[in-house]
Amino acid sequence: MTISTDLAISVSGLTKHYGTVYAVNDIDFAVKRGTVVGLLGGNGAGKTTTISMILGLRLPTRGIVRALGHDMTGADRYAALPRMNLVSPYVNLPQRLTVYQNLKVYALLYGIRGVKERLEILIDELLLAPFLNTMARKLSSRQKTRVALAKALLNQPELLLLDEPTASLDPNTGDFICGYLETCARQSGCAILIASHNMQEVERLCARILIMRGGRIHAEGTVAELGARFGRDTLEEVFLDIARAPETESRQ
Amino acid sequence: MTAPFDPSAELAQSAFAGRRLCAILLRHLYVMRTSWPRIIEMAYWPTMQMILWSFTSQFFRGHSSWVAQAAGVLVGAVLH
Repeated sequence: MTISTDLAISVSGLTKHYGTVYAVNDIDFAVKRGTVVGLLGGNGAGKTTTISMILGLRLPTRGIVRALGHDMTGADRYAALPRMNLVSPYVNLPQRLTVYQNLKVYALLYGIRGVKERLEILIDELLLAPFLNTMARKLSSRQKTRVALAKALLNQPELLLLDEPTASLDPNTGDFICGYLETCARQSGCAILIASHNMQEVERLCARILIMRGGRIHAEGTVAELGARFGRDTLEEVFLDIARAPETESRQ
Repeated sequence: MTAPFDPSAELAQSAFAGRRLCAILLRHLYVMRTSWPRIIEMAYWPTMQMILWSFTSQFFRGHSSWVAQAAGVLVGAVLH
């Protein structure tokens, strides 16, 4: 089997079920290097499970999942993991460490060289200086998101997985994060997969969008393509059409 | 087929492992620095164990044969 080297993520026939419940059901998609792809879907659509399988944290029931050309279901994943990273509201940083201590520990864990310089860049870009010596447990939601993003960018990943990065953020902070991710994707050329409920954020950042429902990908394309296919003006309307369609409707 | 031995790759790998080890040590050090109960606990329980074992072995020394004492001496040596 030939493995395309210009793909950051390649998923084929990916399925994960727990007994009779299918969290992810036979999905196929690919993310090219240097592109930003959105993974939309309601609660329980299978976004987080998909991301977990891309990271190799959950084993698929069947199907193929590759990241940066490596099979993520076996030991080969350790070749890809140092080149990728994750931001998720479900993953907390060590709570008794300050922001700076957390970043330093993670930088060492990732084995990066020039820790001090890398930290200075991220502190400056993500405006972390005012709360650098604050314990992680005392951070507000917006501060936590910025710190989590800084942690994820420490190793300058080629593939960044963002699981609801702007959940519970005010519009101002959400806009800052979006702007930063836009710049980051453009300058570093890393591939980004964003799982989100925030339509504006996805519309702004993503070149292509996958909409999941009940563990399946029900629609994919650019914002314009999806709008044309569903006869809608906004992504939110497309999303609501898919979310409210009867369960038996076939995959489009 | 096994990969050929590459000394520079081996060196880089061990340096990486060293950095990760350092990260874990640093994490525990940071936590301990801000939590005096953890530091006290580190000394408290071993001290309690040693005192308790000393009394126990002293009791056995006066009340049992040299075979039974041998176990106490061995554990005492380990504790010290």
